Formats: sequence, structure tokens, C-alpha cells
Amino acid sequence: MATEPAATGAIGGIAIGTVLETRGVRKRFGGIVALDGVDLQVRRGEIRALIGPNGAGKTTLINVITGLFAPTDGEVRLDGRPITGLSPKAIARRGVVRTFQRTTIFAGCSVFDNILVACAAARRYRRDTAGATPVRDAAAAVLETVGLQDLRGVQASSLSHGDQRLLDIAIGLAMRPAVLLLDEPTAGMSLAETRHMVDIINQLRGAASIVIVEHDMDVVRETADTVSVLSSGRVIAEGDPATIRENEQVRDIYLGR
Amino acid sequence: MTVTRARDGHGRRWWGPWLVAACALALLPLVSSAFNEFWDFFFTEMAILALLGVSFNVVYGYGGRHSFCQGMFYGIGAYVTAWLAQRGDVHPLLVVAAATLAASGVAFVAGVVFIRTGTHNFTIATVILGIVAFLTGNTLRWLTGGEDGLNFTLPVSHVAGLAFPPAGIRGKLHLTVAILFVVLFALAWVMRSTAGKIVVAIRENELRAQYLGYGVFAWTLVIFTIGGALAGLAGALYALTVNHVSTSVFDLGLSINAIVWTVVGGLGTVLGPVVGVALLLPITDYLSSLIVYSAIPVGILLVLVVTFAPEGIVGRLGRARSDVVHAERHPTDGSEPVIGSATPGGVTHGH
Repeated sequence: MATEPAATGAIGGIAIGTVLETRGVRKRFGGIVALDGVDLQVRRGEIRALIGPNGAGKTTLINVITGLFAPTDGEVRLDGRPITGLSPKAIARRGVVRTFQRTTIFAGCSVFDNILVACAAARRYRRDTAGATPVRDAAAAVLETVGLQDLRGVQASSLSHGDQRLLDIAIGLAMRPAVLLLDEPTAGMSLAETRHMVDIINQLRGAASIVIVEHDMDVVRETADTVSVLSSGRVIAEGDPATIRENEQVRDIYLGR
Repeated sequence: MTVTRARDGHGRRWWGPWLVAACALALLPLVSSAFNEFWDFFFTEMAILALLGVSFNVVYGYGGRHSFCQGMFYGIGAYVTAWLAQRGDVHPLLVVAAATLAASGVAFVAGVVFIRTGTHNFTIATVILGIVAFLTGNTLRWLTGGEDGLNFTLPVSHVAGLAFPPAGIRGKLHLTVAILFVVLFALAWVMRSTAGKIVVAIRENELRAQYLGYGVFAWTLVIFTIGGALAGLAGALYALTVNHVSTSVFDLGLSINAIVWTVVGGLGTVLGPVVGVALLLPITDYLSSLIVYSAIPVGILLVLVVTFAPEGIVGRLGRARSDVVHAERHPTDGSEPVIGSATPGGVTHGH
């Protein structure tokens, strides 16, 4: 696990602590229980993978954390302070930033403007983290980080699928998030694009705590410090990638035994 | 495959064309001295209606909310001008300011009520509001003069040595063209700023903007209020030009015309509404002298534009000018600014 040095290195001074926590989060849609008491602690600076079969409640959990739905029961805390039931806007301003399963970018704007708008949001709402760098320079730096600097003038809608996914994550990154929630970042990507995405995610280690919902176990193995397995709305196992791979219960769920 | 370079307008000398245009406009008095009263009035009307088109363009072309009640704001601006002018004791500049403020105030209140209902309901609500304004205007005859309208003259006062409102139709032509130019320049400037980029981003993806912490409601409200102010200003200019206002200003047809001009000219482009009005107003005037149902050919033209050039005339011209670069990654320099950036909709074409 690479958690320890990264966490202390990046956040300087604060020992490994929980940055994001859900306590007994339940979410019911009519008769369907999507989340059935999820307890999750994301440590500062770590990359946490959230895996589980379809319908396990992974995206619902992200939706509850980011304020799209209020939980039926339970609590979400950021840095120990409850954020349960706040609006998506308010939660984003506190530094919990997400991406979506479907690419969600400003399609008609240039690549640069996509990032510019996010950097401007960081400047407005994340004052403590946004430095004195002019917004335009900050945006250029983010493009550099993800390797889209050569496409800055291109309209986002005419990027390839892989580059659009990359831009999607760059928008989240530009917000200087405390917690970045990535919902299937490599979905629909080619092998080469997936490799690039893995590199990018690993580069972000320490800069933000990252929760990544992922089906590709190779990606999980190469990025995650800790894996939480969600099944039928509950966390059924937690541990480092190697341990989880050996876990009988997890194998049963994935192999449908 | 080729990729169209977005015209993000980050060029440094973007104001160059505006400077040229300003110099050209300074020569307008020389040109207009060749006009007779018909042309003076015709071009004044064109500039006023272009301003109304700009107000719709701000709300929909940039803000992404379809408004069918820009004509109502125009009517409010015109009537407030008429009422205050009839009092005879209000400074004419204050009259215009009050008319603009009144229209933006109504837009603000309507926005507070409508915006949260979502984009589609918002559109329907503006249609209803427009119709209610028309019916109310015709019912309150004692206030509006009904279809006969109100006659008035705005007292003339001197501002910095210039008569306001200017005497004669030619002076009013110069005034409205100058105001239109200032509004267009301000729009171009704002849309290039970060605030402008945020407005367009919200139009492009409200959901994502919200998840970046942006108050979509507040931004949209500001845009709608500005749109109301611009339409109100256009109405005030109309009123002080013709010295007569009737409830026909509340006709829904005016709002619809503003939409047609803007769509044909180019939604979300600075010059779109101006080009749309300049093209369609003469056509409509000519056709209506020939046939009763002049709206039919205009409607056909609209369908053709929406089908074959959904980005409008200015949008299409701008696209042709913008560089086409290969999808392969290679450095692109600071892009050439084109007046009227941020055309909605992605453009990808085969090679």
C-alpha cells in the first residue's frame, strides 16, 4: 500500500485521517433498496477502488455522496463535518468533485474553455486551495497534466472518445478537489487510452483522495491502494487489491457461484 | 477525419475589427446625408429590431433558455417611456433608464418564478406570459390606449451639448445605431471574458456546471434579466422614435420575429441578430407588399436555414473561416479571433 507516504507527503502535517466517510448510508427507491447501510472511510490521499457487480449500488453511492439524492438514512461526512443532504453545488464547493459514467463535458466549448471554466470555479469556490496563479495559467497547467495541451483550441465535441473522457477528468481535476470521484473513467476506452488513463490517475496520487468505480480489474490493480467491494448495497469486503483478489466471497459474487 | 477548431477567441487583437467598424460608423452621418426620411426610418427600425434580436440571442443563443416574451419586455420598455413622457417632467435620459429597468425588473421576477421549472417549462411559461401581456394590454385601455395607443412627445434636454432625444429621424438613426454598436461591443467583450465562458458552459451542460459549484439558477437569472433590459431598451428607443405606442407592441409575432431573425443570422454569435434583421426585414417588407401571407415564405426560409445551416449565417461563415486542423496532435497557436464565437453544437466532418 502506498497510502502512508503519499498522505503525509501531500497534506503535510495532518496524519493519515479519514477525509470522506459514509455511516450507515441507506437509499431506498420505492421498494428497491439500492444502498443498505454503507460504511465507507476514504483515507486522505489514497486511491480507493469501488468494485462490485452491476446493480451493487456503486453509482448510487456516488450520487448520494455528491448530493444528487439525499440518503434515506445515514450520514456522509467530509473532514468530519456532515454534508448529508446538501445540494450538489454546495458539496462541489466543499471540494467533493465527481465525473459521470457518461462523458459529461461542455461539448460546444473549446478544450481550453472546458478547463478554464473549472479553474474559474476553483478560484471562486475553493479559495483555500486555489493559488495566486491566474486562471488561464492554471487551466494551461491542467491541460499539460493530462496531455491535452496540443488540442486546446479544438471544440470538445470533436475530440475522440478517449480524449473526451480525459477532458472529463481534467475538468474535475481543475477544481482542485479534496475528493475526486471517478465513475468508470476507462469505460469504452481503447487499450492504449486505458493505459494513459491509469498513468494519469497514478499521477494524481497524493494531490487528491480518489474514489474510482471500475470494472476493469487490471486498472484497479494498478491504481488502487484499497478496494471496497459493494454487493447488494453493502460493503462486503475491503482490503488491498491482492487480498481482495483472493477473497472467496468476492470470487463467488463475480463468478456467480 | 478533420476536427474543427473551436473559435474560443483568445486572440490578443480581437478588438481590431471592432475598431475598424467604429471608424466606419463614425462616417455614418456622411452616408446618411444621402438618405431620405424613408431610409432614415427604415434603418432606425432595423437597428431597434436588431437590438431586440440581440436580447433574444443573449437569453437563448448564449444562455440556452428559449424565451417567447422578449416582445413583452420590448412593450414594457415602450409603454414606460410613453407614460413617463406623458408626465412631461421626467428627464428623457431617466425615462429611457426607467424603461430599461422596468423591463429588466419584470424579467427578474419572471425569471425567479420560471427558471427553476426547467428548460422546457420555462419556454412554455414565456409563451403564456407573452400572451397574458397582450390580453392585459388590450383590456386595460385606460392605461395603454388599446389598439389606438398613446401619443406623446418626450421633452428634449441637452446632454453634453447634444440634444437627447435627438431632433428628427436622422438624429434618432445615429443614436440607435450608436447604442446598438455599444451593446454589440459590450456583448463581444463579455462573452470573451471568463464570465462569458461560464455562461456558455452552463448552456452546454447545466449538470456539469452545477457539479463544479456554479449556481445555475443565479447565472441564468442574470442572463434573463440582462435580456429583459436590452429588450426594454429597444422598446424605449422605438417609443421615442415614433412618439406613439399601441398594444400591438405586445403581439406575440414580435417575439417570434426576434427568434426568426436570430436563428437565421446565427444563434450565439454576436452579429447574428443584426445580419438576420438586415436580411429578413427588407424581404418581409417587400413580400408583404405583394402577398397577404408573407409569413409563409419567411417560414420556409427558416425551415431551410434550420435544416441546412443550423448555426445560422454568421455561424456558418465563422466556421468556414476557422482553421481546420487534423485530429492528430500537433501544436496549435493562439487562434484567430472571429467576431461571434461560441457557436452551439459540435461540428465534425469527414475528410
